Amino acid sequence: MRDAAAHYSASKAAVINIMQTSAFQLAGTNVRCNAICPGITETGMTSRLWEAAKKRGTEGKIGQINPLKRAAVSDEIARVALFLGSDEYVLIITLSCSGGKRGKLMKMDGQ
Amino acid sequence: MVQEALDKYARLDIFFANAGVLGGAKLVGDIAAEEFMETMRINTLSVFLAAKYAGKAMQVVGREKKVPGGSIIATASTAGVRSGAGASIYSPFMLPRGGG
Repeated sequence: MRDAAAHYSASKAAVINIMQTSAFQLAGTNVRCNAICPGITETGMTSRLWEAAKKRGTEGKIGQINPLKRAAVSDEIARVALFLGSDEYVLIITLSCSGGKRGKLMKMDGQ
Repeated sequence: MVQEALDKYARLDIFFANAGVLGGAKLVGDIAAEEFMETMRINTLSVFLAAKYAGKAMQVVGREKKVPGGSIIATASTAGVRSGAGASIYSPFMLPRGGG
């Protein structure tokens, strides 16, 4: 089982879509909507992954197939959220924080 | 939650919808309909509700807030951009057999 499960992928694809639609419908109200797309990140949600790796002694391999050669930590994603929470002129971006693996670096729709 | 923010601060500027679950690393044929809906409820319905309520609340103006506006941020995933690009594919050797 290598891939993210169908229900997880579908639920997150819908998140991107809801943010895009909401951004268009709230256009003109000065309310902005954006989605962040993290890759593998050490959080409570992924703790089982880290625990399993620690047991096998392969913790250092997590994220090695990313160009950045490592997983992210939650603080790195929080900084992206802080940027999007600021008053920057940014609307409807799907911002990938995946260490360079998969996804597009910045997919800008409707710019 | 949104009403609580308005009651306390008389304004809402930022909503970060970050809660989510992995839902178990299963093959599509092994996912129960209930599991599917539970993952959608936590990961997706929560973001819809954030947009629904925070979007309106951010337009509330008053003594504390002269200009309407705000920022709604949702955590999606690389798995939402391209199927199979989620957590587990980054570390295929890490997953315990039959689940993650």
